[in-house]
Amino acid sequence: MPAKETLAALGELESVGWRVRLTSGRAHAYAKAYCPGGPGGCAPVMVYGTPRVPEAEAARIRGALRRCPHLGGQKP
Amino acid sequence: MNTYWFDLEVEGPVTEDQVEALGDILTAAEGIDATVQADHRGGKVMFNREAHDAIEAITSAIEHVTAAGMNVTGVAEDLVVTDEIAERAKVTPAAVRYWLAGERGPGGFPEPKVRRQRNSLYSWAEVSAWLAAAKLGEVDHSAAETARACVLINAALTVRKGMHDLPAHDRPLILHLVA
Repeated sequence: MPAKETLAALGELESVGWRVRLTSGRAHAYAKAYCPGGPGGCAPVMVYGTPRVPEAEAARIRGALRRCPHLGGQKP
Repeated sequence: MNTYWFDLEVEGPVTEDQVEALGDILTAAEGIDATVQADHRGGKVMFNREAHDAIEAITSAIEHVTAAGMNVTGVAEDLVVTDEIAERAKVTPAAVRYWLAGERGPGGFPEPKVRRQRNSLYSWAEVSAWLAAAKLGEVDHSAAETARACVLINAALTVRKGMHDLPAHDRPLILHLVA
């Protein structure tokens, strides 16, 4: 189970319409997050479950969220 | 050691196997300090890497991503939206909006690197230099160093790619020029 910081960042993604799919059978990848923009939206974010610094991974995830122009499913 | 924030741009397709391979490589090195945002179209690998300097941080990251089977095409400095500027400058988002509009501060706030209707992206290096000049904060020296390193490494990546397309007899001429 990833650190609480990572889970909190994933929760923030879901709260604004991103879809989070847990991966299975992988040693490092924990989840894949899809933006609300659909097939033409942002590339998915691959989230590792064992980052060196969980706070930094959470910041990177939030960075992807803030740079996403498709929040709420709208095109830029 | 400083921490350097930057994105490596990677060519598509990027597969889940490559992402997993990168996880293996980073774990065997100093630990996972990257997040991949990419698919068949390509994308980026976001890093916050501890190193002695920005060049060391970025070149070691390129080495790791390349070893995972991805093709690095460029490097981008840390670009931030207004909410991140507010967080880093420890002010409210409203204060940043006033700076942007020129209604507060000395004016001349840096132009966005990527302009959008909302969530435009700004160079953190430029913004931190503006904050320092306006006496509203301190220069983030790591960000300024990263921005300079990105220019140099992007040029090196361009040269590397161009060398592949050059006739063999022209390659030493380019090598001589950059030596």
